[in-house]
Amino acid sequence: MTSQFKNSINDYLEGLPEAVLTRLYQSPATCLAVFRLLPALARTLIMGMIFNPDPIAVADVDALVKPSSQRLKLETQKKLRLLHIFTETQAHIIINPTFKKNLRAALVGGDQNISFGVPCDTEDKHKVDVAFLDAHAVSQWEMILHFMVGTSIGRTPSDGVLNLLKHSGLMEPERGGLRITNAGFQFLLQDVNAQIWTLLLQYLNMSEYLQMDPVDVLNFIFMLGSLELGQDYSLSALSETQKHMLEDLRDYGIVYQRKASSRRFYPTRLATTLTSETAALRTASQSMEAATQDTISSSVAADSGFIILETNFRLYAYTESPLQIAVLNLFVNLKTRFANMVTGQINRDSVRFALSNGITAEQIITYLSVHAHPRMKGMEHVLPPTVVDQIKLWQLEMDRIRATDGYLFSEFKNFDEYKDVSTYAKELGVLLYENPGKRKFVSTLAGSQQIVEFVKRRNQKHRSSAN
Amino acid sequence: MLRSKRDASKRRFDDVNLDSDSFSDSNDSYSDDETYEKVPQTRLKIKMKEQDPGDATSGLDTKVHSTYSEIPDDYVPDSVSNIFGKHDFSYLKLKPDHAARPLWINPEDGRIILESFSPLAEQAQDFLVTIAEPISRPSHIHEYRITTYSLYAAVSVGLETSDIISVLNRLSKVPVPKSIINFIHSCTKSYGKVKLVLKHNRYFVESSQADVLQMLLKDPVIGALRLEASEQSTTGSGLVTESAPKMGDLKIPGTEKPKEEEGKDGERDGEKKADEDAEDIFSHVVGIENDDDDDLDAVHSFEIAPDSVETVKKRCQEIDYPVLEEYDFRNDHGNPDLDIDLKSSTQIRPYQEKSLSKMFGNGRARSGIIVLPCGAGKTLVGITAACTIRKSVIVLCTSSVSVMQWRQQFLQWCTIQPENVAVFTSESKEKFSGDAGLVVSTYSMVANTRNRSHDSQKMMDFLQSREWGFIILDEVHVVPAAMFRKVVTNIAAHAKLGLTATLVREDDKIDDLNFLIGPKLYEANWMDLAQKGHIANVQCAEVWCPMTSEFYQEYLKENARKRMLLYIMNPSKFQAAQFLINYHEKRGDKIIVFSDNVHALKAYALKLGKFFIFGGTPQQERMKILKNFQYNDQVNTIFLSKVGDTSIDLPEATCLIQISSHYGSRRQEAQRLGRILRAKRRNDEGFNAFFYSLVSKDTQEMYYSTKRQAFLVDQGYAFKVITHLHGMENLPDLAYASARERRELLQEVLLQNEDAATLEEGDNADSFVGRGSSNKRGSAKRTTGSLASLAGGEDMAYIETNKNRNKDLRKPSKQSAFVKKLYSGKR
Amino acid sequence: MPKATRGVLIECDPSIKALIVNIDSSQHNIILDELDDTHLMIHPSMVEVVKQKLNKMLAENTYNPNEEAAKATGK
Repeated sequence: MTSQFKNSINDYLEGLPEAVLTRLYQSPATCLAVFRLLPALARTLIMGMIFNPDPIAVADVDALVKPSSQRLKLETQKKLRLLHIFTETQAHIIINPTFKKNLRAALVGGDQNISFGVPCDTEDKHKVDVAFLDAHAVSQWEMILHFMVGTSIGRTPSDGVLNLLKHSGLMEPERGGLRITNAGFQFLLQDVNAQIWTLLLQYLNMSEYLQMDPVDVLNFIFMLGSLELGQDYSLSALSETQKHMLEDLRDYGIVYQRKASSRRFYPTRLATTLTSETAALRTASQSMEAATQDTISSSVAADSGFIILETNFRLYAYTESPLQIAVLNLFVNLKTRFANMVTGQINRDSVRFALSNGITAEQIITYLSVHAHPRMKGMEHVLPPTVVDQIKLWQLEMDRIRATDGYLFSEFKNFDEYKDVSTYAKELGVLLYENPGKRKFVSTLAGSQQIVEFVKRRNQKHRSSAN
Repeated sequence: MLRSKRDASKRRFDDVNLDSDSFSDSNDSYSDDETYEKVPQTRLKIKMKEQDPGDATSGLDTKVHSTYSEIPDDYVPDSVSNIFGKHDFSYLKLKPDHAARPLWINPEDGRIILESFSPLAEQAQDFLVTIAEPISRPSHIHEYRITTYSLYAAVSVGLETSDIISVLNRLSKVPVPKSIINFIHSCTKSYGKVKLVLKHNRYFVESSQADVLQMLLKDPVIGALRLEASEQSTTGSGLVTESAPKMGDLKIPGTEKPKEEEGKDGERDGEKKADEDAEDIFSHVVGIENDDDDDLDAVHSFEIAPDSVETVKKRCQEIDYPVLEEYDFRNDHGNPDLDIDLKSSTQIRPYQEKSLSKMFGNGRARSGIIVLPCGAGKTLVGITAACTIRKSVIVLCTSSVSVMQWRQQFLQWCTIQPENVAVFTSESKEKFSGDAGLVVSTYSMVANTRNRSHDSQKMMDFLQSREWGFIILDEVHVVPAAMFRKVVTNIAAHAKLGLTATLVREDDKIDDLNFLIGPKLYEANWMDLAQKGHIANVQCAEVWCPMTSEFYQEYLKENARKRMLLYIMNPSKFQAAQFLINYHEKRGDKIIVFSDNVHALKAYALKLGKFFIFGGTPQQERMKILKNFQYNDQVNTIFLSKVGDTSIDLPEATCLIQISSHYGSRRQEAQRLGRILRAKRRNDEGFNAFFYSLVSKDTQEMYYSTKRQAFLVDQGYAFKVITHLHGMENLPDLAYASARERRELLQEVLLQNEDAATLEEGDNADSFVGRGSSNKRGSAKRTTGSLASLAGGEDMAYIETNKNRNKDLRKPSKQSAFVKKLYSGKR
Repeated sequence: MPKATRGVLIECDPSIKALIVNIDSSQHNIILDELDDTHLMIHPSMVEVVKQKLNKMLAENTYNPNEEAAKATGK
């Protein structure tokens, strides 16, 4: 899951012009964050270069890499080029000096560096602790998800959030309100880190309309990723744009401010784990559960997995979270609920419901694997293979017919006419189906007009040549 | 403002059906094991009390029904409660140490969900099997359900109401809901309170509660039948009072030590002593009763005449105090002993021992049903019980082949002498010499009252003239209730043991069994047995065979019966069968191919060049083919019709392929599987054996296939779906490879009349096991091509049809010609 | 002049095609042209109808224990 968003943020960065990137790289925190987002080979190469005053020979780089990984090396180099971290001449690779300087600063530390945030030097009269921050983050974030999935919890997200959901294509307007889209359903099955990045990227995309400097926005995002949980930070280090962002970030539960006029803010766990490397990121609610539970719950303590799926298609999920239950409800036929567990069944109807909403079999299977109970994870196959196969089969079943609008061309005078016209259609790239035996073919809707024209022209030609 | 595409409230599926483990399926045009005779039967069913307005308790029929809500006042439904509707039990507060307790209880329908990985799981499972019906038992989480019948069974083996509730409480993550407590109370209030005991050749109505007996005596019917007690009337009430029966030094043969020692079987000694507390409760309640306690328990009784027994039983049933029947065989000095023991080489397995301990828990023989998977050694359980009781015993089976099997096994495992064994079938009517002995017969021989031959009648006289200590009812699930009544009334037996692998029945007649034989004493766990190596591990698969265009087009046009023939004779299915046979023969497997439909059986067998056996195959042919299958390594595949389900002593097979089956019968599916559960050879995948069900895609067969598998799936088996057999197209000599051949096959199939689509019933001439409806249909149509008409018979009645089949066997007929042709024109 | 007919090209497996032919046999307003074993041309307005009917027919071949149980109790 995490790798998905990485690709997206990288895509975004790679699409930025050089000037913007260079400005970005003026922030050590950003350099560090970008660095962390890079794949291993890229990081290795960069590390080998940032302390080296001279450019590196291409040959040296080649030497580093195994012959079998040539393609990987080329891809890496291309990526680094697009990010304007690398420039390449015939024989040398030069690292972007701004990037180099600031990444070093980030790694080596020392200098007064506001890009990593400025902790508050004054005591907060209304200090809050990590537990509070977790609870707050969960509450804000889950409010958004609940809204999307349609469970009424009495609170609605702010207009800013609703706007974002609309623009990101996760929800669409419907009769005065908003309705979740297929993309939205898929979004619900992602883990929280991927979800936040989706929203932030959308935010980035929207920032130009909002007349916010994307560099400011990105720098702030990357800064958040480097902040310490439990520490309050001063607004003094933030630009206007970034101060403005705080409002929105509050809505997502990424930061906490006691009130809009506060001069300090606290990052929540959702912020501090933005660029974290840990694979097993818990969902926000599980973090909260783990933090506040004083009883031993073996299912939550070490691992975030909570779902047991049996060979007879019954499902048992150890959860109290209404959000998790609501998400499960998207593809499971839930029947009974106990204080710490819900149970139901995965069947054709429940899977078809999910499929018809745009969720794929793969997503369902991934969700179940990722959240599988530790006991399941200990087995040879995490999920029962028969159930996995059946879910895929149900999806195949949905795809059993493919329907395309088009025109059926028939009743050709002779085979030559058929051949000429169908070949023309093929060359145009609008041929959907052909049956020489019956002298029929089907073209796309769009292509039909041109074909008709062609036929007319051909008839003309034949008439004139016959005369 | 927000709406997801589906209304959230529609998501909530309706109330869980409380009888969902006994589906009555209206789609099933063939009801499994229907009664065919219109014998008036009074259903010996416990009539649940109608809800008494003055009574605060509840308990209607089999439903756990709360008359008042347990939901606390401070309960606030949250955003997802509507998904669950009535089934949101989150208000039940978890106990602080809930993680260490293994089960949840559903207050609405009595379902129990068990974490099988919990430290207390094993004890919990023993307990739950005793008080509830297992519903599903896969790898991690099991489900059970408390029903009136399961509670009846619980009290029959000696559990008390308070014990049941306290153990449940000990094991449950939440306090036992009031509705459950009430349900248990109301069910156990009157069950198990009254016993009918035969001892010293006299019949006593017994109870540990004197007031219950007083109540009975006040009943006009029962009171009138009481015999005056001549000797010891210890109480002024006229009741005889004695101390309660105990296991004492009764040793179940084949077990290692007498039961008065540890209350647990050897396997688990010292293992999971997670909680001392729980252990105590368990050994008192669930395990074998110790001698140490219950010294103070007394029982009261009054006597009735042997002639009054039936009347008293019926009457007790009517007033909601059904009697448990127990046979105090140790104190039966009237009936002659049968001096038999298990041979010293015979060892019984832990689960067999466990089941027997339920039967003999208090030193007497309790009547009831023991459920063990096929291949797990039910016969030995029956034999061991017979060696415990040591009185004359009669065994009833479903076919003459089974009769010979039982006889052989008795001789093999215990010390009974051949002259003390008598066999009563249409072929043989023996008696045993001596006062006591063993008779093995079939249900039909005993229940069939019409047209007995002279010898047969003499035999019946012999059976009816004496008292039998013990009757074993094999494959108890197939016998219609009406037949049972006949058997039970014809034969006077003191202890009754029903043996079966599957207590699931499509027409839900299980309740009758409970009260004709007795409650379920024990049910084993399939997966558990498989894991411990007592039965084979099986890889189950469903192979999807697409219908060819032409076949499918015809299928869509046809009616139900013709449809069946089309989806069975699907050329892709032939090919799949051929491929699998080829594959497994190469592996060295012994393969049995099943087909309920005889037309298909022959078509497939002939096409693929294999031997086949069906109802019309004469006995010698059968023996010859089976011997070859067992010993000849050139004969590795045989085709069997339904005869293979019960009537044949099948040698071990390691691969089963099913090409046609009986609609949605879950029992049959489980039974078929049992044919390979004996397989012991391991391969490297960890599976001993293979079970394939071939189904034609996009046809009704898919529906029935899934339905059939339901029982096995709930035992923990997983059916892999195979959509494509790799390399099948390249098989040399692939059947129906050309379009022309397929068209020809289609023509042939279309020419068949509907009779060809008949499924073969239990066909053994001796077997009287009813498959009434399908046969009635068969008897109504007499057109060319049907078996009966080939044999020359035109009679309509079921019994007459059977006679025709007998004729078939004896005179040379066209069917035998098929087989002969097979032998002579061998591939 | 060859004929051009507006419609929807359906690509499917032979069994599905047979099912659609079967649906059409009682209504006669669905299929414009049976092209081959795996292709059909149908009326644009009938696509949803076909999909729904197909789903219904295929669902008949699927056993769902919950549904059976519900049917049995008449719920």
